[in-house]
Amino acid sequence: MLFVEFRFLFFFAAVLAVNWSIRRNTPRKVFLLLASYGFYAGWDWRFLGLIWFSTLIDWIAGAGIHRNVGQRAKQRAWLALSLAGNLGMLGTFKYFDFFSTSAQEFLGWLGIGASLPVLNLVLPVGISFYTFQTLSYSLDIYFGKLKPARSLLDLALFVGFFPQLVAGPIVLAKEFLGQLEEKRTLSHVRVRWALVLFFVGFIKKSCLSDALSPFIDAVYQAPAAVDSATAWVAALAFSAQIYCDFSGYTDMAIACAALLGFQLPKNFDAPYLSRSIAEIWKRWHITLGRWFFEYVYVPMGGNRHGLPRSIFNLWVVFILSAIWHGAGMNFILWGAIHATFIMLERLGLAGVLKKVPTLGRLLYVNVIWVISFAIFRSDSIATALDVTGAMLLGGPALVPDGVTVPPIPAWILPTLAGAFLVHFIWQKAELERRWAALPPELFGAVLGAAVALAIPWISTNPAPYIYFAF
Amino acid sequence: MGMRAALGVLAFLVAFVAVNRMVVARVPLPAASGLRTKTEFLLEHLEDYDAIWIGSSATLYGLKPKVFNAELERLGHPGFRVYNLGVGGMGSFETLAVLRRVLAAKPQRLAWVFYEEPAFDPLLWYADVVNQRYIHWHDVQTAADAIDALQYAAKPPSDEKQKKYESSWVAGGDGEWRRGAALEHVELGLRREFAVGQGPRIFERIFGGPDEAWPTPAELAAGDGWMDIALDPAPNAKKAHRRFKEKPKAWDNRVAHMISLEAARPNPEKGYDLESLRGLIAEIRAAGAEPIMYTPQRGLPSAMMLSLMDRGELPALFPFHLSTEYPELIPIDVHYDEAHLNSEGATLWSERFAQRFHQYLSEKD
Repeated sequence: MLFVEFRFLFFFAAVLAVNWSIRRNTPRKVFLLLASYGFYAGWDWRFLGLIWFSTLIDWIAGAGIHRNVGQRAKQRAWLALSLAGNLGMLGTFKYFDFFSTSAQEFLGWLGIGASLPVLNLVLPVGISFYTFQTLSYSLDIYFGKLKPARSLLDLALFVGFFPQLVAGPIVLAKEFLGQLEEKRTLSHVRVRWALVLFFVGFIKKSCLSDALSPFIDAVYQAPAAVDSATAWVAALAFSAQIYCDFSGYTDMAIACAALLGFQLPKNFDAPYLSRSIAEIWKRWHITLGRWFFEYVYVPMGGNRHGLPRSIFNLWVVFILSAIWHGAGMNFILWGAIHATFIMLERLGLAGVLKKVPTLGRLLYVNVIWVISFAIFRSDSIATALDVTGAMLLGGPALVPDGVTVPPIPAWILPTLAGAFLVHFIWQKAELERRWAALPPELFGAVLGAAVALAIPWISTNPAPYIYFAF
Repeated sequence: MGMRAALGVLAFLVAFVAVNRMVVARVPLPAASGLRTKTEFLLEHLEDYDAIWIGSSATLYGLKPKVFNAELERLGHPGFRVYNLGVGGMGSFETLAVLRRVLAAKPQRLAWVFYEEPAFDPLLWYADVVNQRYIHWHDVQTAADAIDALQYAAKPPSDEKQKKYESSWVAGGDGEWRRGAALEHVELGLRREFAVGQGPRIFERIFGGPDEAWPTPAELAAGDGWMDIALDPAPNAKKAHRRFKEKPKAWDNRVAHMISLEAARPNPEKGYDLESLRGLIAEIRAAGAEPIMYTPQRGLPSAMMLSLMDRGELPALFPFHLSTEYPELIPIDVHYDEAHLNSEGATLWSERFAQRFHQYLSEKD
């Protein structure tokens, strides 16, 4: 069930109505948990078992770590259980085949013929998100930042809470469990703000991202045939698409949670207005960056052991982050490009950039971003080389027989302009806050007109969320 | 809910409806098979015409207004002008919706509506149901008419569709597929009334976008809506023509079958939407015009039309498919393919149409 589907509106309206009609906290949490599992079962009920497994592992590990305060070795053993359980599950479903085939290719390159097993497993939706969330629970107890959840129900709801279950934002246990302790009250819900946020997220996904999708898909199906202009337009379009798609989803997730009385963390902060690569990673997928910073970068020593060590830590984080996105060499190359530029910025490029006018810095960040995301979008290194080659060196002299070069649609410009407006003007000027502050009658009238104007721009070819694949 | 919140909801609804209506009114007709160009041309020149032909591609390629007008003038009716509003692939309810659009423009000069064989088939034949051709005709009234007409439909277009309809939550899987099919009409109606996904087309209409390559307004003006099928750029048209000419025996068999069923008179009470037919006639008359139904020669028996005429349900019927009355329209030489006349055949049919209309007017007087 997608947030932009008609049936989700019915589902969510029913959940809202029942949620706020239940007076006591525990039954309300039970209801939300069942609704969340129902939401997930809409994708594939068989994978509910993985969510339960992840929840139980961390429930047991968290209790074990807490029981053994002062005994670091035992705590480590319990933490290892959580890490092995969650990362083992993630590794099996997401990475097994990648590492198996890569190892086989490597052995073949060495002249060692080997046939390694391939599982061909379906990737369960949201597995990368909820495993990281549950890990935050055990890790925070281990680091002494959190006490175990009061009940298995609370932990299960933290893991399974449907607004953020399948594509984030990646919520930390310490910021969510506390919200379950007391009954949420309707009077504290910022209804108008949440409605506007949901609406904006809907526009980003359904009117902008989905509109761009067919053209981008067509270009990446014929990478060897595209000329330079088409490759650049497709790369720009993908930059806009992935922002609208992912931030649109998280806007709607945050809005849904808010309407149920819960607060989820911000995940985007006008990233394309960043003036360095280091900055953009503080404004793009903020909750993933925060997770790696808190649970990988800092425990490895962070900046505390000198520049070379901090750069090594940075590379580890970026390679892991790349692998988190997907099992493919294109993702690793993408992560390496970002790690390289942040490293260069730390080694002195940042100082040079400070002397460059703002427009030049914006251009620097966005050109690197657009090119690296052209690699990210590719399904192989060969495709990435074709597309980036066309962007940087020009397209092929001859289009191969039987390959059709997708024409640049007239539509792309207004759609990209729409994405630009949403990104720069909307998010920077916090228009949803100003809109929500209007008197109710005016707020309603503006929303009514906006919804009527938005519906015609809903794409008739809805595409799955890009981040569902991660 | 507080009073101000209630007012907010009310303001939302009022603004939504007002803006939605403005948006829907700006959705252009689909640019497919000449539908948009031909209809918009007629609406722009509505007061130039005394009559329209409205129907499928049999009408589009088969009836030449200029020939008809000239023949009618020769027979003593000078100054009469007819416009060909035939559109390729235009089904029963789409024809009805397009006619309603024309009549809603309140034409003053229009006195006759020549209507091609009204079958009121409510089934959605294309595999891709959510297409612009289907969406545009699902205005509230026409969609409701189509849903009502489902009761007369014998069976769904395919076994797969039947399974799909029967599995719909409204159908209940008890062999009742009509409610599932009705749901499809409701969905198309909602898409139309909320203008879902129509933004790019509205944008192109306002700021300019690619026009239909064929027919152009100049071509329409030259032929008053008639188009030469031999010039149709659609690859399917050429393919059908080649197939037709390669297998003349198939046409002979089709005609023989048609002739064998000419005497049949099916009961319209079973399996025909009489209510829609009566409504159509009333709507045309309410707009100040007189309906005349006609059947083209495409090797099909059209027995129901004859039955309706016999029972007095049709104000008039020009049955050009009858071998006894119009044998000259049968030979393969005047056909481009099994469903369409060629230019020579179109000239012949247009003359016969004028002669038949002259006869009708003479008998009426």
